[in-house]
Amino acid sequence: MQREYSREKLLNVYRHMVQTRIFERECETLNKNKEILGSIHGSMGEEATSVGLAAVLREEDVLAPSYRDPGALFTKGLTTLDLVGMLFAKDCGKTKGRTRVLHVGDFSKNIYPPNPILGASQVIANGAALSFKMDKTDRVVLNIIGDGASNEGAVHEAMNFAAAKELPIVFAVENNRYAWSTPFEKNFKIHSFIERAIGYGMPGFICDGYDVIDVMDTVSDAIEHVRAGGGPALVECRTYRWSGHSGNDKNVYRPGDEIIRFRQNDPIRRLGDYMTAAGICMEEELQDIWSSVEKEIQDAITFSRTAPYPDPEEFFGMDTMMAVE
Amino acid sequence: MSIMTYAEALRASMREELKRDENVYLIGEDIGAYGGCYGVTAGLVDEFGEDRVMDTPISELAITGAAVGSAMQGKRPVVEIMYADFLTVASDQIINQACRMRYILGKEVKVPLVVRTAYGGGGRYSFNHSQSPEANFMNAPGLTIMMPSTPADAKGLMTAAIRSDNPVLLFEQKYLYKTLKGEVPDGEHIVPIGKGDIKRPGSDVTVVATGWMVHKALEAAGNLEKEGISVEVIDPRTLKPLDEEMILKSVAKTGRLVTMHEASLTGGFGAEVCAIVAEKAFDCLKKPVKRIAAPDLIIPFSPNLEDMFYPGAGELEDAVRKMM
Repeated sequence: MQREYSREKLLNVYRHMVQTRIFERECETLNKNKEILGSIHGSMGEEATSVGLAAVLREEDVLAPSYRDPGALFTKGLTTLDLVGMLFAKDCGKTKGRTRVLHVGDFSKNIYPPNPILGASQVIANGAALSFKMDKTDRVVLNIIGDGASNEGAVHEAMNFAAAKELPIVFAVENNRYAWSTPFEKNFKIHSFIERAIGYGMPGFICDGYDVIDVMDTVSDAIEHVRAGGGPALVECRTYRWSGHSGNDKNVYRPGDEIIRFRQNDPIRRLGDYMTAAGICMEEELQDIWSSVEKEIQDAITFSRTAPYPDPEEFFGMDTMMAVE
Repeated sequence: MSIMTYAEALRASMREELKRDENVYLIGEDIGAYGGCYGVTAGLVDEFGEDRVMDTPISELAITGAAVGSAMQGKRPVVEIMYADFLTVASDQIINQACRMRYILGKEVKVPLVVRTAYGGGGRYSFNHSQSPEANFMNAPGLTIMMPSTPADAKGLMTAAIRSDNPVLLFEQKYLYKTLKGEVPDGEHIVPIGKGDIKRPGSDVTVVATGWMVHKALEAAGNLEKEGISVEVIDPRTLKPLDEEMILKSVAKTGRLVTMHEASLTGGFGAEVCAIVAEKAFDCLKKPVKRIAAPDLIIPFSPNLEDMFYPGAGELEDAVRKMM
């Protein structure tokens, strides 16, 4: 269903998409220059999906993102420094050097950690939904799944469990067409995740993951169904990742000029063009967003470069039940 | 005091905690109207309703994951995994998830999760319904592991587990459910986490045994007493955290250590106890330590084979005699 969004809301969405884009660009550069440790899992190209999904949640709703969702994390309230500090494994990062970005969560902001053990996030997200149902609140959970992860056994258990228990949860599949390097067609005999939704007895929705307005409209429909007590729903967002799966992926498995084709359909430019054409804002305002986000991210990088590593005493002094500050 | 079976004592604890705290709920396969595979939760659904004694699809990962996610929201779930052998299916949630949440999210998040499960032999069920996989979980930081041997400890440990703010894995010996009766304190009874119990004091040999094997050890100790050998039987009750002090103090007195468990020998709980004693009380030892355990084989079906497979009192008696 088409909905109305305030100018302020759309500018915020635009900002979070830009924040995600520049963050990912910097991740790639820092990774290439070997300035940061571990690996990165880029989401460039998927900004409309990741941001759009989280943009329609209420503060009290739980977001349980995939590990490729900085857009959703920024939208739900994590800061640039929270994540940039984590890239450098510094004390100023959200988890103070204890984890990589693919584990970051924030309970006070109702963000459950993403999970590199694929399928684990879905069954845990169900638990938050179960407790909301037990408490008779109208809070909902938004859980984000990659198309690749959706083939884990745990996801099957989670979706059936959610349906059987009529849990208030939306499973949003970010279908970016590749499970690491393996294309969708090789991993699936279905054409759309709606077929799976039907199999589990929940309504399925589908949207253009490169059109943030369509993402917001569609996930809002799903959330409405769920919040009204109708049980879980599934939303498929058709999207596309420009980068490799991770920092050391050469990204050479895509046919022809597929990436170029999707880059021409840049989701950020699409939203900007719509907003200026519809008279919602001026081009200059969008440019200001780009430059202020750029500065914010560069400042965070500069700060993190020289910031201290975590205090070993704090880590090794931790009690065995891992109760950390 | 009341006389209860091991299963009744577990149920008494869960019933009291369900009454005491509305955040406590039970979740698992066939635990409601059916009362659980071994009847441990029998009748509780009638008293507390289906929302608090919740039947689920056969999905150990989804059950345990839902418990983890709801525990983070302040619920206190008690999961029944029908057989400990099925823990492998849920083990990602126990090892990689439940025990990591506080580390990731910080102190304000608690994971008051109990996973209770029927383990061990005596049921004539062969492997995949008879294993004792506690050692598989010993190496998971942040996990509390319990193994009660008596009805009183079963009640006291279950209550401690439910009230703990951290994940607990509670192994219930399936043969003891209905065959073992004992005195159980009425009302609130808590066995502190990390506190062992000297089931029989002695001065010549320390035997550290778990679960069903505690009873085998007591049988052996009774027989050896007639030969003038005094055996101290220690039941650690919580395998992790372990009451090292009790074990070290006992070995300092006896100078001899035997460990005994149902699980296979290699990498077992007994190996950990022996390592601790070798590390911290080596000078007290008069004889090399001895581990008594099941062999590193698959649990067989035929009763003659199963009876030989699990350690018995006779094996312990022989080991102790050789040490004297």
